[in-house]
Amino acid sequence: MRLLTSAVLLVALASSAAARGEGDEETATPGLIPPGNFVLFYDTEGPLSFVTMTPRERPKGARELGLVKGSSCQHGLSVPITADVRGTSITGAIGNGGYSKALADIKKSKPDVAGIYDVRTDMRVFSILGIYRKLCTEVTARAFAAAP
Amino acid sequence: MRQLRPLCLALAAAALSSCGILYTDIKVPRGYRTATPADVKSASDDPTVSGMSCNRSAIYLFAWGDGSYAAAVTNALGTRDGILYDVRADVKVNAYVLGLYSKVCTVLTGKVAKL
Repeated sequence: MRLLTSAVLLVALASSAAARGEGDEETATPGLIPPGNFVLFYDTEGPLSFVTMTPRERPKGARELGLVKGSSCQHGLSVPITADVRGTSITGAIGNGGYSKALADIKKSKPDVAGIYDVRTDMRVFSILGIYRKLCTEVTARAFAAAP
Repeated sequence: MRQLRPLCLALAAAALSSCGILYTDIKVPRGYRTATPADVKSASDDPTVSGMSCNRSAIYLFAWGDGSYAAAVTNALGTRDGILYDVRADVKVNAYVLGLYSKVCTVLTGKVAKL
């Protein structure tokens, strides 16, 4: 049983930060912050899929706005309750790390953005001692405004 | 040995996930819908460029770096003001001494079209 738990932990940890490549729009792998052993609360949103525009799909006459960046984050707290390496802990996670929040972040910095294309999506993984964890969705793209 | 098994598994998990047990600050690629030659103003003499971005980890405890698509694209374009198309994305992994030091890189190769 102990071995099985460790194996599950191993797989869960590995998948959480594994680099995911192209085909995101078809595979629809959720990017949720991993929950711990004893979940006290879990209220997060993460990226699932986003079929982005290519340059050809831009509306005709659209005005170029250049490179834009937006991010959204999920935060997790994990408090160890035993002093062993298996790391039994009480955990909680909160935050909106979804695509919609990241796009809203772009819109906030450049209100005249009508759409984005050439989109690169990356995940920022931040952790200190495994107690505090942050998982951010970072969207980098070229933006355009509606035709004048 | 029995007591060491969970520790070994934890270290293996850390090594596999590119995460550090004490400190992690990395960026990993998630998605990039790249352009095809038909999507941009492509020309036969468009230059082929390559860019790389890396995450590193040491002694399973620390992980740092920026292995994102955004960094690899920036690195590939350099000072050019263009757009990448016909892009191939690869992952390059180097690990030494049982993974005590490892480097995981995102490698992008593509052509640059004018905007």
